[in-house]
Amino acid sequence: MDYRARYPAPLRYLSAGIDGLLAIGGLAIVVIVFVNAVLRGTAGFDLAWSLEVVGFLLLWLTFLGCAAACARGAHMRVTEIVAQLVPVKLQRPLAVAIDGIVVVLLCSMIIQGTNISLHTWAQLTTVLYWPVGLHYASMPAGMAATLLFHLFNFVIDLRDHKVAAKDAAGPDWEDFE
Amino acid sequence: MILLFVCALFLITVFLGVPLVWAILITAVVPIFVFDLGYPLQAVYLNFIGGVEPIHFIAIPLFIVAGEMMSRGGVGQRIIDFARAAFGFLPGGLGFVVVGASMLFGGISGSAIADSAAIGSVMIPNMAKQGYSRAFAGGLVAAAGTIGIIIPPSIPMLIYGFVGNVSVADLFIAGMVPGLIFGLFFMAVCYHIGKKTQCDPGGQAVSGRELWRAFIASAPALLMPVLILGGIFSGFMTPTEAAAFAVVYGFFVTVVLYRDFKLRDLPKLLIDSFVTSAIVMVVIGATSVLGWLITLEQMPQILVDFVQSVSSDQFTFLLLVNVVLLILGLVLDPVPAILLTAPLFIPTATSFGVDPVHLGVIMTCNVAVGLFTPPVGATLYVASRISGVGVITIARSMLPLYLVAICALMLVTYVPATSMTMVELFR
Repeated sequence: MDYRARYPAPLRYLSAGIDGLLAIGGLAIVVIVFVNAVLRGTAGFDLAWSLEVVGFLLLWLTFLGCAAACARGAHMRVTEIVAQLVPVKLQRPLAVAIDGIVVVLLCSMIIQGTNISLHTWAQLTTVLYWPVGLHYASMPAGMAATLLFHLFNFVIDLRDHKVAAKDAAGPDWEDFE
Repeated sequence: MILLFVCALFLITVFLGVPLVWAILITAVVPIFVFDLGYPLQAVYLNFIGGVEPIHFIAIPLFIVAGEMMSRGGVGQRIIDFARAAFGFLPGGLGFVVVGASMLFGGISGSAIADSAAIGSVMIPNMAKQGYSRAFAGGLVAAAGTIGIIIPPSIPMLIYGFVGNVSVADLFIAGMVPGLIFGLFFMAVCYHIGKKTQCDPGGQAVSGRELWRAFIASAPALLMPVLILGGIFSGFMTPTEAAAFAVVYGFFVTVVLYRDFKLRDLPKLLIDSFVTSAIVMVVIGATSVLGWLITLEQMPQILVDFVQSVSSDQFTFLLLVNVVLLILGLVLDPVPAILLTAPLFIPTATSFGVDPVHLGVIMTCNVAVGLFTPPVGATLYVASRISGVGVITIARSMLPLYLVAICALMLVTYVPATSMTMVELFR
């Protein structure tokens, strides 16, 4: 399920911003790798900085893409087994428990990822002298955005479940008035 | 004990519906606390980042972009026209067209889902009009589409090569004959069905001129795998550079030559492709954490000892690989199935004298079969959506296709020459 249309405005802007970065960064990767290959094949030299920039973009686009996938509800998962074998009454508590575990995991990734980034900030890359921690900051940044989307997805699912339960319980008294 | 715990925890979390990336991370992190292994969490997450960091992984999103561009750029219809001109006169001709077009398109897109969607949307209605049952037409599209991940370039093979440190060029060349075998076996079923039901008895062959015209129309697209493989095998390009070249060439073919792809659609294509790539890449990162734990705890050695205690025979090991992957393939997509099992199977296979390239082809063929088996078969769902027939009904109509697929799989597994002859020739 794609949740993006149901997000509040600030979150929709964040999602659109991440999409924009994916498009620009993706195009940059294609151009840099292709130009570098052409230069290596025809002129016999390559761009020394290209590997570092492409590596940097790959990391950031991967973790931002992870958040974009979360907003689209697109992460790979096996839903058929639960849908067919777990009683409907148990499915909601199970989903809540899973969401809770994922939140804990994401928080741990953000905290540990930030520590990794801070510890490696003083190290510099060999060509561009960019902080290595800037590369590693991609994980906590991407996971923070993922956590944000995940929490809102959770709230939307919860609301949908309440509405479905209300509908299943029959019409309210006000409906007859 | 720890190996059993890891396997059980992974299966439980996956079956409970935890997204795969988190399920794998949970499987890697929980045993550290349960068995008090003492590894710091920072090391775990450093491995996670390290898993997606290798620069050659850039080939994965680039091949996805190239495949998407070709799929959305009107290449499918031209390839179908060519396959129809080449095979349409045979009994079961439309089935031949589906299989032939899937094999050709697979060489361009490298993705089974793109393959099934592009071919199925045109061919399922045509087959139904000809008198085939919609269920069989959908089933054939679902099965034939999976040849796309066996014939090079193949994204699962690329990932296997990177994860297992196996030559991608060797894997690509090794996949050609097995892809042909699967295709020919599926064509044999089409011939049989076409003759038996008389719904598609065949007709007159098209003239040489018409065949040539159809070939010329699809030639720019068909040239792509030739250029990619040629570039890699000649040493002119690395797989990563070949992937970037594929994107630029795909852009040229679909935007400049065919004019079926509009420039304004490019940002959406890039976003979709990089989201798909990110989904795969974070699973790769999570798997590298699991792979790290598996190596530190010497689990491949435990598996080798276990298999050797049952039998020291290479064939028994390969049978085990087939059974495990066929079962995993029922519930997992190709990429995670390969990512999860490759770190365990490659060292074990080496100890049994199985070439890692041959193992890569066997694993890819196994997961390809898993793609069209319920309950979780991606191409099956694509075919179901296009044909409007339920997944189970389609699966029932596919029994002959399952049978020949298993035969083809056995042939590829137990006759290494099917994949290794070409590799030896090119080595």
